[in-house]
This record gives sequence, C-alpha cells and structure tokens, in this order.
Amino acid sequence: MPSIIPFHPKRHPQVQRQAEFTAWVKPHLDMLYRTAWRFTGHAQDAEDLVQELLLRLYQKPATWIKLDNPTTWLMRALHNLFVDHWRRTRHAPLNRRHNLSWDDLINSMDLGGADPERLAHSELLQRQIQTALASLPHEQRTILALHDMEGHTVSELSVLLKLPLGTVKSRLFRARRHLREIFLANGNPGGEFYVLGDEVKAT
Amino acid sequence: MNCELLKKLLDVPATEIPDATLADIHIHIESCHACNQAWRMKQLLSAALKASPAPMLSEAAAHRILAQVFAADTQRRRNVMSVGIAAVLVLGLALGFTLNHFMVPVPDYVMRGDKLILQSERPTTVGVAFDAGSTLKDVHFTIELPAGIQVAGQPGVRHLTWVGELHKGKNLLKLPLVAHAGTDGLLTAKLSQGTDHQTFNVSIRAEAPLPMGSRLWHGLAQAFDWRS
Repeated sequence: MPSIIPFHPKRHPQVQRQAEFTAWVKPHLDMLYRTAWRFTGHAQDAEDLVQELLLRLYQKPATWIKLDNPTTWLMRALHNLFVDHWRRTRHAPLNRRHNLSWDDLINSMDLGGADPERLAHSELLQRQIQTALASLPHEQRTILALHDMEGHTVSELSVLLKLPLGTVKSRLFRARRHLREIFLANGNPGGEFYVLGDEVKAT
Repeated sequence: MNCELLKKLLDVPATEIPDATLADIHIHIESCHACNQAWRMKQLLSAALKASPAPMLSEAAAHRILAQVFAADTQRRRNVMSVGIAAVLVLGLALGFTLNHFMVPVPDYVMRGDKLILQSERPTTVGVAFDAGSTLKDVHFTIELPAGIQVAGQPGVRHLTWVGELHKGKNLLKLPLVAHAGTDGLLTAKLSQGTDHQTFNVSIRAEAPLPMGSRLWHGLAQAFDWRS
C-alpha cells in the first residue's frame, strides 16, 4: 500500500499569503502612493517606489504580520527606501519628470463647489508651488511633504524619521525657508505682492 | 515684536509658535506693511502646501502594483530554485498513475496511451504515484496545471507548492481536479530537495462524460492492472 502524501489545497501557502498580504496592505496603499508621489513628483516613479517597498515587505512576512500600527512603520520604510536607495537610481531632475498633467491632477481632486475664479488663482499658485517643490533637495521636499502636505506633526516626524525633535524642527525650518526663497525667485522675481480681497497673490 | 524677530519666525510652522507670540505678531503687522505682506505670504504658502493635490491611486493601479509584487516574488523564488541545481539527482523516482480504488470504485479518469483523460466539469481525484528509493524529507512539491484545469474548490488555482516528505517505496498524491471540456495541456509535477529536482509532465485532456460501459471497462482494467 503506498504512503499518502499530505496535500492541503485549502492551506496553500502562496495563495493564502497573497490574500493575507493584500488584506493587510490595501488600507495603506493610497496613503503610500500619495506620499510616494509627493516624494518623487512622478506617477510612474511613485508606483515603482511603492511596488519596491511592498515587494521587500512581502518577502519578509515575519516583519509585517506582527506590526500593530503599520502606518508609522510604512511611512518610515517608504521614506528610507526613497532616501537610501531609490533616489540614487533616478538621476533626472524632478522638475523635468512631472508627466502627470495639471488637468489630470485637477480632475483627481474633489473640488466640491469651488468658485472657478478662486480655483484659477489656486491653480496658478499650485503650479508655482509644484515648481518650487521640484527644485528642493530631496530631504527638504520629503519633510515638507510629510509635515505640510500630509499633516504629520513635528513630534510624529521625530518618531517616524527616528530623529531628535530639534533636528526635525531645524530641517523643517530650512526646508520652508528654501521653498519660500525659490517661490519668491521663480514666481515673483521682484518679490512684490498685491492684495486681492483677503488673499495675497504673487504677481 | 519687531521686524527682525518676525522675519526669523516666517519659516516656523504656526503650530510651533506660542499663542502669546502670535498675538504680538498680529499687533505688529497691523502697523508694519512689509511684515504684513511677508506674514500673509507665509500663510498663503502654508495653505497652498496643505491644499496641494496628489493623485488618487485607482483600483486598477492598486491591483497592478500588487500583481507585480506577487509576480516578482514568484520569479525570485523560481530563480532561487533554479540556481545551483546539481547534475546529480538523488531522487530515484518513477511517475505513474495508480487507481485509488479505496475512494472511487469506477474512476472518472482513464489513460489513453500516454494521455490522461478527465471527465469535464466534475471533481475528479487523480492519483499520482512517486516511487522513492529512500525516505526523503523537506521535499518541495510543485504542481502546475494547464489552463482550464484547477484544484477542486479553489477557482483559478493552477499552481500549487508545498513541502512534505516521501517515504521509501510508493507514495500516492491525490489531486482533486476539475477540468473544463476541451482542455488539453500538460500537468507538471516538480519535486525538489535541496539542489536536486525532477520534473514530470503528463499530457492531460478533459472530455465530455464517458459512456458508462467505457468507464466500467477502464475501471476494471486499471483495478486489475490488466489491459486488453
């Protein structure tokens, strides 16, 4: 009588692991992609960055299975991957790699009942912001993305980036100053502004 | 508050500035046009950064990313498996099909020449026998099924891997399969232990239900290991 080879198709490890990983990571995918896009400034590069992070994670199930609060861990891992490895393989200046059109960007936003005139002004401003951000060094762009765009507090960034609070503050200060200088130089060479209603507009 | 101090605070996040200092700033900018402009500029920049749009990840893109992750992982595993495959095989295996007469007195599959014929659209347990010269532990089993055939109860599953062991002598693997009519392809069984491996291919085809007489005939023929 032959020996019976144990076979448990319902516990197929590959399929089960994929399903578990998908269920685990899906709630964080949008946040990861959005942050990756802010880091890289490029849709395809953002996908590549997220994909590389997820592949590394997937191959180490012991890491992700036991994470109780994965958001901070994922953001740190994404940031480290971008800073330590990914950026070295991408040499093109960021401001030449924006391939997502502004129309696509606007269409992807929930605009609600925004006033068109106000939106037009905001669009101009956002273009200038994007141009200025693209000119920043990556470490300044990432900290601005995490603090000013994604809304992480300085304390959260200290934990997330594993940096002393003072270091985070000084980096953020330098990044904001640099952005302001670039913004003024690019968008408003003369450094003049005019007031329209309650807002200040760059000329 | 004075202009120099305010200038130093222009790049500090508002959340990091004490309320009392903020009150002093507001008093100062009421009477200083340059500082007023600079402070408004700071607020505008902060607001613009906060409102800066980012694209949403579509369902299709999410699916694409995960599919590429899983595909890359599978490819990496295959590469690892293929690296260092020794020319010397320690597995002494013979592949053959055995009738599992304990479970199905009349089998739902027959052998026609070298081809395995399955009855379509019906779960069928196919027995695959491996003859091992000695007990082998940590054997990686891989079964790959052709398109149109899947594991019963697991739609779409055509690639199976697991780790088990082989005892000395005959070992029977019972595969519960479901095939769609017209399917014709190869069932591949790969066994590897360390850097040694063996691959077996069996031609397999699914057909409409066999006539009862034919099924009984083939069942008897295989039960007694007797062919006409």
